[in-house]
Amino acid sequence: MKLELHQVKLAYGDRNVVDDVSFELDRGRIGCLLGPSGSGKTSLLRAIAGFEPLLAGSIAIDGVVLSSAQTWVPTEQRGVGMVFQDFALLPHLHVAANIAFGLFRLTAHEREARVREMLTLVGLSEQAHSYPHQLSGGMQQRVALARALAPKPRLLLLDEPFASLDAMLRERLCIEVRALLERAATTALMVTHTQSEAFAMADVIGVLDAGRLRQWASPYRLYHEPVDRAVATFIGDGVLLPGTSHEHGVVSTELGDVRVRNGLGMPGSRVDVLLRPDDVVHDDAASIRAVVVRRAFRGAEFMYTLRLPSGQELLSLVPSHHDHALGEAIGIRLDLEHVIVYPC
Amino acid sequence: MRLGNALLASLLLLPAALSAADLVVYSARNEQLIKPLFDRYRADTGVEIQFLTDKEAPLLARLQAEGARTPADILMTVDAGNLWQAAQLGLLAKVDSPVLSANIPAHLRDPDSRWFGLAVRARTIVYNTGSVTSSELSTYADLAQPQWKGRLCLRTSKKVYNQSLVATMIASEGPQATEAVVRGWVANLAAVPFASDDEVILAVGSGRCAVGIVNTYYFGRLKRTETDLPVAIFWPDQGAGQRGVHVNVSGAGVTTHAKHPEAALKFLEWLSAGEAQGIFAGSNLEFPANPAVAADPFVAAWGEFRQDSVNVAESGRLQTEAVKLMDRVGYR
Amino acid sequence: MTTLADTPAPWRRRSARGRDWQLLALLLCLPTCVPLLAAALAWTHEDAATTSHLLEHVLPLASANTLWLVLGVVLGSTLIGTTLAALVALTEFPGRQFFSWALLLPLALPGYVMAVALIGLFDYAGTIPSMLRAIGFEAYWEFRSLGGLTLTMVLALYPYVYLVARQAFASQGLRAIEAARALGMTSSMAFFRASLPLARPAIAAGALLVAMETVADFGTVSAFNVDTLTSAIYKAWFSLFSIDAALRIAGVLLLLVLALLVIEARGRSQQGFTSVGANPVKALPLARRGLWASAFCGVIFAVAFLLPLTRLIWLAAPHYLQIDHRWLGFAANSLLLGLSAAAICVLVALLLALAVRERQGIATRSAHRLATLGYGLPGALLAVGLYLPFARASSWLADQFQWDIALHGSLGLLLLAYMVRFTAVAQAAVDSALARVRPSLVEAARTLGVRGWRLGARVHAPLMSGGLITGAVLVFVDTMKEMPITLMMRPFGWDTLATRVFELTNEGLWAQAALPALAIVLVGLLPVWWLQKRTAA
Repeated sequence: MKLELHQVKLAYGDRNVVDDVSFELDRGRIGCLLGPSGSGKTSLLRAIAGFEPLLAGSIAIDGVVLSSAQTWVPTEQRGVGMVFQDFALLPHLHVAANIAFGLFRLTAHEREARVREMLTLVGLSEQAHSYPHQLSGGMQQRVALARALAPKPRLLLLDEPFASLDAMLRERLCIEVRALLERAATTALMVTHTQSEAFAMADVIGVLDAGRLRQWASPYRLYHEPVDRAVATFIGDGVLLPGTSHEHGVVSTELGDVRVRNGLGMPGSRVDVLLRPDDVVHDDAASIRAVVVRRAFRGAEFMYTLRLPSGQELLSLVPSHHDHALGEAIGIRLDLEHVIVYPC
Repeated sequence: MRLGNALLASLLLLPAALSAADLVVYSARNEQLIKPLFDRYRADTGVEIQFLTDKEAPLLARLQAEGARTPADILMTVDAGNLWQAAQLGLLAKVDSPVLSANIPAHLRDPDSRWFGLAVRARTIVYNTGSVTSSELSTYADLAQPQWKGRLCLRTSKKVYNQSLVATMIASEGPQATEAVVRGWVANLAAVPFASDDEVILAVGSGRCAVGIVNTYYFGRLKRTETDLPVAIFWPDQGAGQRGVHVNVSGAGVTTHAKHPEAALKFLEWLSAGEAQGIFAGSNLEFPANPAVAADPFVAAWGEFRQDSVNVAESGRLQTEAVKLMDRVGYR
Repeated sequence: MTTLADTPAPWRRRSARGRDWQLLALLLCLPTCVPLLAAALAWTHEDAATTSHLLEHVLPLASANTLWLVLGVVLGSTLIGTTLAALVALTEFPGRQFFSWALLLPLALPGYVMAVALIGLFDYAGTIPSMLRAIGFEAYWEFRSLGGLTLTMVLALYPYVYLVARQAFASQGLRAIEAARALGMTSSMAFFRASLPLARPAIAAGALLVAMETVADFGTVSAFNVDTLTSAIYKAWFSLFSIDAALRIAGVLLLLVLALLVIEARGRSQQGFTSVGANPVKALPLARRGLWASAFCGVIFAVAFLLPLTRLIWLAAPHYLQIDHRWLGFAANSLLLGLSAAAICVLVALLLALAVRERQGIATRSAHRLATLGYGLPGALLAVGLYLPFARASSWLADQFQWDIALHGSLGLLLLAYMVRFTAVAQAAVDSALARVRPSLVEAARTLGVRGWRLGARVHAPLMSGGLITGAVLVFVDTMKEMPITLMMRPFGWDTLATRVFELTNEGLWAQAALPALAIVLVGLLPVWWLQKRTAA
């Protein structure tokens, strides 16, 4: 199983909502489309499901084109499952019947066995004969998941599956669902606007902005090697520190010189260096001092917002035994593994 | 929906069943008043009659729209005004029938022989026997006098019976005099005009008002069930030179595009005489149009009266004017 | 890459499907346009004499009466219908179960029958004032007045509001109220601030039906002899023999109806999603105040149904011998027409609702609204507005092509006329039924491979059945009561219970007319009772 999107273009009327999007998702992997609302991620998911027409490009599974400007395989023949934001459970059917809904091709015996298997998988055997409105949000979500997985789809699509749940539940469910999908060995593509969900769930993340796919990469690479400022600021915390480029990949900044690998253009040009909070290390011995202007306690760590003499602000993640008061000046240094700079 | 389609398809063909009929009647006179006669006619002659009832105006509209393809041979209505209107629209054919001319008095049929009155309905005065004596009553116009202030009950002017009453009054007394009379009536009203003659009679009986103007058969019907109702009939305008009791007709004519004109005429002639005349009028407590036929004894007991001799066609010719007159003086 | 299915230009096919829906929607509202066009065309015919007479002497009072009447009836039936619905759906009081369905029963009473029955009871010469006078109580309120008419129509029409509002309240349950009370509101405050706004679109839809029915009514209005625009239409046509003037006034009436539609659409635009499958409804116990609720429901039920029914039975009883074998035919015809009209109107309303969903745009939305206008036209005018063009068309077909299909006078045309008139009655119920089938449910089903008839049978049908049945029952009952269209369009020999009522009332045989009227009520009660059984579950 391999999902391939090639230069996909979607439009509502004259308005392009998705343009020139290409990516591949391998078997058994969990992909995630991340982007602010209106970025076109849900439209893309619906296009893969076969609900939206393609203006150009193609969508294929295992090399078979399902959608293009000329081709359209009906949704029901695509072998994709989908979990909807509102779960779309049928209110007049109990849990078992909802799960059995797509299993009409099986014999009664097979169907029963499959439903039982799914109920066990999602841990709802007790609730088999409850109706959707009698279940909590988390349970409803698991029913929706079980229903979508029951016919063994080649690809599972999840449209903001946690959006209607409260924050506590969301975090726990992310982990649960991920484990569930792994157990079912399902290839899945999820849409979300919440970065933490994407990081918790996905093997690979695509960042969508204004209908364009900015980057398609693992969470680690997205975080540490964002391809442009948009991705850099959308993913994770961090600041852009101004600097000047020199020859031999050296950039001078207020915090000293750093070495970079990527090209910098003409020597003397202005650039911005991406600094993640873990790139700025607290060191009492360091010569550079910065003043604490905000602090957020996170249990194991503090997230400090620091101000340099120039007025430039930085973020720094510091182990929580380093408890500094607001206004206190602390020593910092850079600990950079790979430096990302963007030309101004 | 397949069943529905089949149903629709088969029902579209229903009108074909009409071909079995020897005669088709469009009637504004009610089924229970005409069906016994149709049954009787079939028993006598073997002629099968199909009929359709509706109000006059829709029937005329229907006849007009169907044009030459109408299945109707006879149009039957309960008011001369409607017959006059049908004739005006060219929906009725002129017939030459010595039988009808002999049986139906001249003032009860179309001067051009396109329709004929078959039963006479008299619109007359009723009074509360407890508060009024018959000597106080004289004419329709007298009810406009101040002594009847707050003592008169009338049916709505929207009913064709009142329109005909006023129309024939215009014909015999002129528009100015008529307008003055109707204005006087409105000034004398004891209550908002009623929706039916029954309500007028009951209002008179209950003492809400002293006098009212109604068709005699309503009075007859009510009297049959409520014998102790203190209401009696008065025949107005009986003096020398006075116009007589206002009458109207239920009548019929042969349609212009009749498929069976001879059979239609035969049926009308049959209706205009003998037992059929008696049944036609008697079934609704009306008076036979043919003077040679005796009225139902129950009806005859109300006494002899002189009819207004103005041609009932006038009620059609002047109907619009009458309606406008009543609107002008605020008779609702 | 290879392609799985070589379906050429699939997206064009899909948008063509959207166009098909649009075409269908326009086609479905076409019959409504025929009489509307006739009304519009009448403005090109000059009938100065009649028009100026009507303008001067008839229309001022008629317009004022119409406005007051619509205002009064809509306010009254909305107030009573909503109050009863809230009591029955949200509170617990003695007799709630009984009133829940009993309050629907006035639906089965034709308005003109109720009018005559109430006049017979409350007019000066009527039963109750006569009895009061007999014991020396002389005071009398003129019942045959605009006020009495308004009251009668409120009693006849409140069930339209009651039915939809009760469903809206019941589907909310007490949750809205509980949520608002958690914010510190008293329960009555919570009702007005939370429950009522949520139910408002449903109430507005019911009120619109009431308004249109009021505007188009002739029977009730003429029993009270109150002049309205509709009675002016009949005067122009029946008394002044000017069908053009009648159609012109109808044009004015239609403008009024359009204004009502716009007002209602504004009320509807804030329509939110009511939750599906709310918690099992818990009712608010009213404790001792419950008796007041029982008394209120009891009074409405007595005046709107028991009293008129008793009078009907009393009038009809002496004539029961008139029932003969033909009555089976009348009842069967009424039933057949009612059921067919119900099926057709619900189907049309459903197709229109689907078209609006499948193809968003001004065309489908206009068609959807336009199809309801027939309910705001007086029946006789609608009948003639449909009949004349069809009769002419079939004459023309016969003359030109010897193709004698006799469109007119066939049951097909009669059912078409019912469709034009009563689609509006089914629409609110059908629309809200379709709203229960959220688009995501359909999409979910399709991702699970469920489509075609299976989709309809397993998703649409169970979710919509309640609403479809409600719509069907309303149309059925209305068709049973309908008179002018049935009279004009029915084929030869096709008598129904309603045409029996006409035959007898036309000559003022009210007592005998009570018999078929009673039969209409009884036949109409069956589906209302059945509806209750369905919706109470």
